[in-house]
Amino acid sequence: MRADTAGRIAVGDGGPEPFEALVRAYQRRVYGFAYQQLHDPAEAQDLAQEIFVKLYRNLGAYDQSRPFEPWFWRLAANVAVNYRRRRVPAPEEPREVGVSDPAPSELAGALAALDPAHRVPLVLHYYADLPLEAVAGALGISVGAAKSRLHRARAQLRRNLESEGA
Amino acid sequence: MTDLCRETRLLLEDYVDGALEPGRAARVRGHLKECRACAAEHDLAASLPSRLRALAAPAPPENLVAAVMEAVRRERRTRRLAPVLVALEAGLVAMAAWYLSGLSGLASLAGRMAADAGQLVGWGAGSPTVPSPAAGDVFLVLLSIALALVCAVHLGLLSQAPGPRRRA
Repeated sequence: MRADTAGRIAVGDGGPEPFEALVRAYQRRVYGFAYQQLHDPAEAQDLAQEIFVKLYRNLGAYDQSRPFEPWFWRLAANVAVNYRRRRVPAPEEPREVGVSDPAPSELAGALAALDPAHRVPLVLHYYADLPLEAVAGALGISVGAAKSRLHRARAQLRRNLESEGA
Repeated sequence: MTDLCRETRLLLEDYVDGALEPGRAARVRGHLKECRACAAEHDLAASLPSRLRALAAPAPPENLVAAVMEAVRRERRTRRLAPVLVALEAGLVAMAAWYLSGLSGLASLAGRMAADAGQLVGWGAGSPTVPSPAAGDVFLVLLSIALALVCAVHLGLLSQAPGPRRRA
């Protein structure tokens, strides 16, 4: 099932069964998106769940004449930013690394440390694989502005990595 | 670091994406051939898009869909129940407001409360008659208990909304 189709089905009905199909279609990307923001599997699950619940609450506000993906990712980005803002900082502790819990690489750590204005477009474009137009739609800015924000974000990431000696 | 190094590093992302005009691109290219530090920066800049695409994340937990659907069902129940709860709360508040309407209502309530308290003090001090509160006061107490219960159910439903996990 194409993600856009799933979005339209869920919006058309609003019941739990079509929505479940939508959750299944998006779960990998949404969980990955959440994980790249937080680097904690349990918190990523909480954030992914919050994104889907927020989506369910806001399905009525979706304009079906417009593409679903930019609208959805804009919502996801807003939920992620708010989630991180409300988050309680945890003390730095060494943790056991398992197969399903890969240690964040230097790049992943530097990405998570970026401010949201830089991190969100990078994750949407390179990780969630959204085209530039969809990133612009998700951020509510022009394609040109999205492109320049991605460039600035990459430059900031490069400077952070360089200062860490990557 | 020279001014040319600084200028080159500002332009690296545009250069990597081929977004620079030919003249500036040639200048950057020329500098990169001569400056090893800037060439290393260029390599890092050029590698970032593919490294970002290759970032790993664990597979979503198996119970993610089930947890989301449970939250959605709870959300639906709350949505269905919310208007009933709000109507009940509004009705109870309206009854209390009607009962306590105006300054005279409040003054009469205050007077009765004082009398009840006086009777209780008298009873505690050995007065043989057990105080019997007015029927209106009992009604008000029952109304308050009902309102508190409905509000507790409502707050309980609202507090089930997901939020950031408290981290140890």
